[in-house]
Amino acid sequence: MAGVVPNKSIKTDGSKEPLPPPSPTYILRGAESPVTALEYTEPALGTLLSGCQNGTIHLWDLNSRRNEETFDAHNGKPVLYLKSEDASRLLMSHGRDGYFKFWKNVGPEFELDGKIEAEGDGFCPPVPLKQKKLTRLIALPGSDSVVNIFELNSRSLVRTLSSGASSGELGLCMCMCAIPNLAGNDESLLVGYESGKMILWDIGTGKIQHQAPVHADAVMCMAYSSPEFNKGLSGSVDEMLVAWSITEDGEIQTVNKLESTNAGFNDVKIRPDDRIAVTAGWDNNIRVFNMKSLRPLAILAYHRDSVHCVEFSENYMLAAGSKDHLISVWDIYRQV
Amino acid sequence: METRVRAAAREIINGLRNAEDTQNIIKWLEAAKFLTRKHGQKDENLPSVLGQYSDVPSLQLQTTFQQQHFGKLCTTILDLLSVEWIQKLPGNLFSAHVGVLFLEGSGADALLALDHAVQSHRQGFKLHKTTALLELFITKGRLQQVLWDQCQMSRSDGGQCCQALMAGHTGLWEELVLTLSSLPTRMANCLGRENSDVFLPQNYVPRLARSILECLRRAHDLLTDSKDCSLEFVSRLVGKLCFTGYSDLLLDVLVPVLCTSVTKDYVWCRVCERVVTGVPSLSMESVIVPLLSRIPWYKWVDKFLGDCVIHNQKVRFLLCTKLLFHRYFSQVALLQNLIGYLASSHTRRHLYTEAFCKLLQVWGDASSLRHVSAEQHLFLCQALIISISHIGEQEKQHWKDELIKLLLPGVQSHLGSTDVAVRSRGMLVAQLLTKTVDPTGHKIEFEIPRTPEIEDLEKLMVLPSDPGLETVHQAVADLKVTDEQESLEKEMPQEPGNDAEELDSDDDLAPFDMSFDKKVSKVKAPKYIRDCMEGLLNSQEVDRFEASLGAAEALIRSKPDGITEISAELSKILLHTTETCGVPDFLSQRYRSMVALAVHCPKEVAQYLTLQFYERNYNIRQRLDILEVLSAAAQELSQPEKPEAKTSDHSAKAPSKIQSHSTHPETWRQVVQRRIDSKTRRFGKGRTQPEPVGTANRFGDVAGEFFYPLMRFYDKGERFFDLLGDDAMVLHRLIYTLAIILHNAVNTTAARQMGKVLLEFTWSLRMHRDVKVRQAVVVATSIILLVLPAHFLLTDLQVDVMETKAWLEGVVEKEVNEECKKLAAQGLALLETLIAKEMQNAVTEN
Repeated sequence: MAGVVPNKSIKTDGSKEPLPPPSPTYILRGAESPVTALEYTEPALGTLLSGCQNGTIHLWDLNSRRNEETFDAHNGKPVLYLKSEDASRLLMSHGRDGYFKFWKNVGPEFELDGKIEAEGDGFCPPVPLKQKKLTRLIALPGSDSVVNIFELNSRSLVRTLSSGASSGELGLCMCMCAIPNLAGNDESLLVGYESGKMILWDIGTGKIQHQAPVHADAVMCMAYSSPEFNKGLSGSVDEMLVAWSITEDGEIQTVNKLESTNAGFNDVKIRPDDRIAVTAGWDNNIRVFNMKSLRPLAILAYHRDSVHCVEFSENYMLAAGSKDHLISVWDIYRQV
Repeated sequence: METRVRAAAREIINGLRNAEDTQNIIKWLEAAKFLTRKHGQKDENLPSVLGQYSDVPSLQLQTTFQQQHFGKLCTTILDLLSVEWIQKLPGNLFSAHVGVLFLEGSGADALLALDHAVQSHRQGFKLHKTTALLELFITKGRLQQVLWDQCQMSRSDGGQCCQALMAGHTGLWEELVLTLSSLPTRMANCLGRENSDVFLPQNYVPRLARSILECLRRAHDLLTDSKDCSLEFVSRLVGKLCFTGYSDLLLDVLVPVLCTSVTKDYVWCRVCERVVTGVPSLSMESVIVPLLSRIPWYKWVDKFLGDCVIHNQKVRFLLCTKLLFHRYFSQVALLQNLIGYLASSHTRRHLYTEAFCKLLQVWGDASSLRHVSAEQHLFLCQALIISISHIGEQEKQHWKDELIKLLLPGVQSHLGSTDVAVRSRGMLVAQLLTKTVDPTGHKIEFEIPRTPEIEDLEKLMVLPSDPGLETVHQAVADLKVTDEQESLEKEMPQEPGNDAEELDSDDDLAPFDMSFDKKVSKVKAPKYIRDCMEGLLNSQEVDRFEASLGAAEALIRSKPDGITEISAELSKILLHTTETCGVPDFLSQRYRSMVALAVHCPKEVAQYLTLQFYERNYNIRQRLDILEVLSAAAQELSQPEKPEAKTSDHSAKAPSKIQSHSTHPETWRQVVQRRIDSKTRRFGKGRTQPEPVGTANRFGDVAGEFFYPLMRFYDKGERFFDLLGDDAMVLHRLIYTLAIILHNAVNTTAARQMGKVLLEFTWSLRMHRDVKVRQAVVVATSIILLVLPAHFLLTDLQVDVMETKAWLEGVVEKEVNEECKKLAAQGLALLETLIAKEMQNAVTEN
């Protein structure tokens, strides 16, 4: 008779009506071109930074929900990456003009404070890396499949990651993410290439730790959770999202595959608490997945064109930038 | 000397009859017991009462007595069984003397005597005692002795006066066989509810079967010692048992055991063959059919049947003609065994090829296809496919042309059939035959719809492999175990759902509604009906075409301005679109759009479609589409519109919405009012639902437009479209459609005229050669009877209706198709109740 009780509980669960589909909390309008990069500043400041396809960077006040500041940062080329530091006094950006730029906040305006030439003009945003000795590194995509590691303070090249194979084999470097080490050692760098292959690089030695053909086509985006949770997601141009993990021997191991209704992913982010992951899709939708069960939780449908980027704030507000020039802000699964 | 024995027997019988006290009875019983002893126990002396017969050798005395007088003795004793008589034999004296007599004497005589006694006594104490004796007789395993005695008989008699004895035996055997086979029935008749379990067929027949097995085992032992014995009695008994309907119970016990023995030993094969072939010809079929369906593998069949199909004309007729062409069975095993048996030996091989050709000939015959029932057709196809699987290389070369020649007309007649199942079976047989017979030549390839039936048929191409003896034993054991297991499984509670679900249920992240998650298309759905038409015309632009088709129904249903003007044009476009680019749901979307259009502009669309129905340059599919659309539109039009549903829903939901969303604290009035409401019972609140609003029947005005033009040219018989000729498939859909339209026009003023016309129309088609058309006519007639008012049918159409009644009765009697028969019976019942009611009404009015 013990079997009866769980049966009942499942039944009551199943009969529960699903919640109606969520709507965005508010929309930020005013960008003149597709939004390609987003960055929350510290919550106390209540500002959001966004980069556009035409190279401009916008500063949004989240209280008044208005555009505060706009400036051209990358000579009309799309902005791929934004990072604010030091209570928004310092801003770093990367664009398809091939420059990684440093900005200083002087009064209401930003002033250029040096730049690094990255050689490449691909689609790959850079990734900051934490190391034990050299505390601030940045991985910048170079030409073809090469990745260059720069030291941020001295702004000098410290390592080049090149597989040595002909560039046609791997294709362009499409996306990167840092893989922290449980033991607190140096972070590794995981790079996804145009061929669908993913390579885990050891930064200290500059050698390949492991490589795996995870996707059939270009790896468009990837994200990795905390090393304790040890789960990563990557998306490609097809319907499949691949969940993988890094084994103790430093190997990439495919765990699961999720099929979405529509093909193509531009961005994927895992919330810092490892509860949920969100994807930005070519089908205009933002999809929310449960990280534990890897099941779909919600579809955030608002945008009328492809969604380019998604970003979580420190208090878990979700912002999404789309090709339709709008930024939508969502309040989803924050209470739990 | 025989007279002396007779005298002794008479003396014992008289002595028993006249004995007054226990002493005397026992004395005579002892004497009887002595005479029924087995020979050889010489240590006993002749009882005193028989002292005067001491000159006869006791061995001869016993033998002759047992052969000729034991039966009489048994009858006498059974006659004597009365309460008073029994009282003279207290305690175990009865079983010690009387019981032993029945158990030790000749089994056959005892059994016959008991049986006669049961039949003649009918009730009372005697019946009770006799039944008890019979029960004892059976449970003590005496049946086996009865059987074995008959097997030995012919042997023990040796050569002398064999003929005369055999004749006597035949009489005895007939009686015995009858008694043994009808025992359960007779006992049930006599005893009614007090019948003993022993006599129930499910206990008695297996017991008898085990006795038969034991008897066969003994015969086998004798034969291996090169001694003679007769199995004719067993054959007769098996035949009779099967003939009276105990074949399942009997063979379920016999076959598994015999299978094991037969594969081990050749002598067993001879024994089985003798038993099966010795069955009287009258009951041959009732033995062979259940036997064939039970043998687990076709290569074991000839161990039971031997080559009897060659020598025995009756068996040959049964196997090669009757079972294949005159009867049909649902068990495939029977067919596999039958054809496998014919094909598995070179001596019988010519019968197999003969049967194969004949099967193909019958299968391909167009007129037999029309008259054969669906089940038998399936049976024929199964037989053909199994035959194909048995064909050998040499025969392929030799018979190739002959087979193909026979096949081709068959394929043609199958493809022309109106029944989907018949068509696909025909395609499958043709495909398999050409592939097997002529793998290098022209192949016939069809797109056969994958149904379970077709898949089962395909599996028959693989010859069954040796199941092994273990499976036979397993099957026997399983039969017993499964019942217990099933009951156990039912009681066991279901295991709780899998772990993943449970994990999810304790997760606190509740999913949102994701039902709107659809595949996106690159092209926007058209917003205007004219855009949609343009999109449908451009079937080269796949995305646009798909979006237009998807949006068409909703657009039409939104009743845009000017849809009436373009409705014919749009129908034309929709009717002519063909599935070129693999759009999912193409057919259903197109169909729904056409129906929507026909509903919103019934007059224009119906005019256009009915006109096109008889036009040239349409394929059958399009003509069928026209019919389907018209019938669906008629159905929808006859239903009342429901625009009110929305508003009422809205009003009902509105207040609750306000309450739940209002953030203001409730006023005290509201709180008080609610408390009062919750504690007040109200009676007669009035209608809980608003009264239904009557709306005009939209179909009434246009029913004629749907109906009459469809019948316009049905008998024209053009070269491209011949309804009364080859296009019977369209014709039967046409009749159905007309019936549906009439049904939907019920209660309209046009219905009477329409029904009358339809009755005339179908009159000429009642004897159509195609089953489906006849069936459609029966359905249409039933609908006419349903739709038209009874008084109209019985006054204005009285002659027609009476004629219809006679025809329906004829169909119920003579039709070959079961479905058709059933429908006709329903129609007839309808008509009869109609007449009865009308009569009653007429009576009450007067």
